[in-house]
Amino acid sequence: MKRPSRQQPIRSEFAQGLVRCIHALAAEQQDGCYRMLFAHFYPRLVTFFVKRGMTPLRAEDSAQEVMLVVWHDAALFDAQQQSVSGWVFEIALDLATSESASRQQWDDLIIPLPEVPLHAEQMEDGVADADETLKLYAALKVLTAGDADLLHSAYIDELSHSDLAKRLQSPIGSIKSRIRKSIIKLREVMRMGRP
Amino acid sequence: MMHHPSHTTIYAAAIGMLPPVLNTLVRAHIARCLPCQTLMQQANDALGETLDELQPAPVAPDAIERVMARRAGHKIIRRPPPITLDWHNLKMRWAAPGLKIRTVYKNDKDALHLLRMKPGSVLPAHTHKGPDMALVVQGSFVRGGVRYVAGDIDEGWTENEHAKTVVCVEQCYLFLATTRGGVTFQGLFGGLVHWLTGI
Repeated sequence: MKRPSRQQPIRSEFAQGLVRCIHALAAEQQDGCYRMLFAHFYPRLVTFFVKRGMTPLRAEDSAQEVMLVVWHDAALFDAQQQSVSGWVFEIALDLATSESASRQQWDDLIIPLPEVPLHAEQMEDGVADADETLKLYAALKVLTAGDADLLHSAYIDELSHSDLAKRLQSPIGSIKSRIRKSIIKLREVMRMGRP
Repeated sequence: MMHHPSHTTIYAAAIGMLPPVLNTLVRAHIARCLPCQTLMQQANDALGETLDELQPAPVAPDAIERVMARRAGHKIIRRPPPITLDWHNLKMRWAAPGLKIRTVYKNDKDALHLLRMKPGSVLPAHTHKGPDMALVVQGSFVRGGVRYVAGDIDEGWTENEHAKTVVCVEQCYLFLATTRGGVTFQGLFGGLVHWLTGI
C-alpha cells in the first residue's frame, strides 16, 4: 500500500525567516543570526518560565539554558519536522519538566514496535461479528475436549443424535444430556461480561 | 494500525501534560504512525506560535553578551540515551488461564504491565481506577467487536467497561499502562483533569 506522505506545513513569512536564521546559524555559526533569534525568543522564554511558576531570576537562568541549547543544537533542527518556535518550545518544555522525578523514570524508556504493515482495508471486513464468534470460541475452552467435539459434530457437522450415539457407542439418552449440559455451560460463560 | 490516541491525548502529550506512563505508550505508537506524527507536528507548531505571542519580559540589556560569552565552554546536560525495552525476553508470571503478566515498572501511582494472552483467552469485563491505555505490540485482541492489532492504542478502558470483554484472537502481547491507582474517573480526559488538578 502506498504510504501517505507527510504534508508540508504552510508557514508564515516570519516563521520562514526564523528557519533561514537557524540554518545560517547551523552552517556558519553567524552571531548576527544568533542575536536575532535571541532577541525574539529570550524575553518570551523568560515569560514562559515565569508563567510556569519560576522566580524571574530563575526564569532568566532557564531561558539562558534554552538559548545555549539552541546554539549547540542548531544543526539538529529539521524544518521538515517542526517550526523553529515549536522546536524552541519543546526544548523549553523539556527543561521545565525534566526535574520531575516520575517523568525521568518513564522518559528514557522506548517500547519497540515491529514494522507494522498498514492493512486497514482487510481488517474492516468481518470485524463486527468477530467478537461474538471469538467469545464462543473462548467459551468452548471451558468444555472438555470430548464435549467440545460432540458439540462440533452436532452443530457444525450436523450429525443427528442417533448418528452420534452410534459413532460414540453410547446410549442416545446420555448423548442428549451431554449436549444439553454443554450448552448450558456455554451459555453461562457467554453471559459473563455482558451487562 | 487503525486505532490511534485521541486528539486530546496527542495535544496533552505535546504540551507535556500526559501522565508519563501513558506518554511512553503514545510515543511508541507515534514513532510508527504517520497521521499521528502529522498531528503531533501541528500541535507543536501551534504551541510554538503561543510562545511567539507571549508578552516579552523585560530583560537585562547585556543578557545576550553574557550568554554568548558562555557559549564556548558550556556543556549541556544531556539525558542518558533511552533504553529500548527488550520485552520479548522478559520473564512473565502466570496470572490466569492463557494469561501471563509482567509488571515492568511501578510506583505509587502509575504502573506499566506487559500482558501475554493466548488465543481464546479472555480478560473478563472490568473497570480500572484511573485513565488507562493499552498498546498492542504483537498479535491482536478484540474488544467490543473491534480488533486491535500491533501498534494500536486502546484508551478509555474505564468507559462502558461492563459490556466489553477483551478476547484474544491470536497470541497477543500488549502493554497496559495504569495511572492513579485508587480513584475512579470517567475517560482519559477526566483522568487528565484529575492529574492536572491533583484532586
